Amino acid sequence: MIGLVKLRRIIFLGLRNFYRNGWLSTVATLMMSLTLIIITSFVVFNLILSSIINIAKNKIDLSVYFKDSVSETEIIDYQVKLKARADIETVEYVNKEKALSYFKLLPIKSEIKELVKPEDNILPRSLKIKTKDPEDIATISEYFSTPAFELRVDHISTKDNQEVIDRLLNMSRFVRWVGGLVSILFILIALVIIVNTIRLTIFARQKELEVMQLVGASWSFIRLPFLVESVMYVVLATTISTLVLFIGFRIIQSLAFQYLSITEYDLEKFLVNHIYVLIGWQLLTGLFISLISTIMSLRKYLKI
Amino acid sequence: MRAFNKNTKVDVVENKNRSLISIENVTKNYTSGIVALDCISFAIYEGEFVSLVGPSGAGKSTIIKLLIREEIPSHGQIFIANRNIATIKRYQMPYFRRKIGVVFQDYKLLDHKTVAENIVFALEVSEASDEEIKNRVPKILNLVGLMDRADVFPNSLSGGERQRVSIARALVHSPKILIADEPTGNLDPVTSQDVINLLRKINLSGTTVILATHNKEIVDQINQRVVKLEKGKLIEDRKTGGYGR
Repeated sequence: MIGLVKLRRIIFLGLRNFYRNGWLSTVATLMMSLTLIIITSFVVFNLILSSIINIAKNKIDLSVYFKDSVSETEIIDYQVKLKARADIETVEYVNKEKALSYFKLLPIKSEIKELVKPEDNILPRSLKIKTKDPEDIATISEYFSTPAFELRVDHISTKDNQEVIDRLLNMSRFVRWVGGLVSILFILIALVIIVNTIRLTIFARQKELEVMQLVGASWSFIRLPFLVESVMYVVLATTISTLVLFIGFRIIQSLAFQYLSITEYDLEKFLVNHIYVLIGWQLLTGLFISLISTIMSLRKYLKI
Repeated sequence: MRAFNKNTKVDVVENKNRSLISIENVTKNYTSGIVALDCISFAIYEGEFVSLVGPSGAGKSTIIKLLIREEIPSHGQIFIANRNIATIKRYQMPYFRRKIGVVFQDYKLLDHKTVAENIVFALEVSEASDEEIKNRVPKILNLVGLMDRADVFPNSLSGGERQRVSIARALVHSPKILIADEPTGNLDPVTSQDVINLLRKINLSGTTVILATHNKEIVDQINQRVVKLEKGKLIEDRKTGGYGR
């Protein structure tokens, strides 16, 4: 019963202080919103970036074209062996009929398409290989380039565009590295600002803390209302930040569509699908930051 | 054997050997090199009204800070109700503070709370029940004569009224000791007289009052025990009488 009365008083005191210190509460809430927006947009940005890079990387595969002299049994044997490897995602055997159907789908002139007929199919049989990590494509390519395959393999698809693949992979590594570094920098700046804002809100109320100690306020009564206030900042800031992020990403998406013709990635859908994670992540991050800064600042001004 | 109050975790046994407050060979040095108190010893007995006098910088405020354990002596010991207050643990501090009411020259009221709220606040944060708060607040406001000002914010009160709120707040826990540090410092003579009369009334009800002041007229008029300090040293301790030379 006493516990309930105490809890009610602590919550009421925290809420009343939040309301009565209107200006400070507004500043702290806005700063917390900014911090959450910065941290979350960088996290979402990095997630989206990895996702876009993965989409691009997933398109990287390798086709090994076999000479007509190689028997189908031998090719299927290679397929089985490749499938057993841990670094291989899929291996598709493309026979002459399949090769022809793929050829017909190519965006080329119909006159050229007509040159290849089912009864006179010159298209080679191939194995279409996709590795789990696109970086392993080179290993597979090297494997089929050994002298043992010289008489069997006609052509390896990646040989022509290996340079492009390497550049794409290097670029993705670079973008991730720079993105991560910039994110860490901005997150640190945001943390310094919010920690100091919370310190300021407590510094401004030194007199209240002094009076509380003077009248014999218990440990929980001095600290917990400040923590209730911190929770209020975080809850409001999460709401503001989520709204701003949705509006902001919608604008970014329409700009990306308009100027970069990026249509494969639906930002809004991504956010809607991850809404609980997004809110939960912001609440936890905000609570962690604000509670730690509140406790640290209180320690500085409390003599008991 | 020591007895503890189960709720407050603070000693409740009155000392049979020592007085209510016993200041024993207390020296207070600050890191700046200033010696605020130099080997001071005196005792205060239950029910006394003691005026702590001396010019600014004599060490009056330091003694008060030591008594409410805002500071700890560099040397020597202070016993209150037979307990060396330097040994009070952090978690016991709130209970200790509730046993001593303190009034300051600058009132230390919360401006965003009304008169009644300032008093309720002191009770709420020290975990008094709703019933207790309901009963006690009007009684205390009556005692200090501020029943009709209960819903007013401190900024709308006169200096004397603010000091009375401060005294009311100091009395909410029915402390055995009331310490007043220059309570009339910001008040005119007539209002000062009101505040002193209130302190005397509180003393007559059994509360030990320690008044730190450099106001000669007030001390002369109270005509009770006077402890005089100068440059951190105790230079006079008279059972009754005025400020002296």
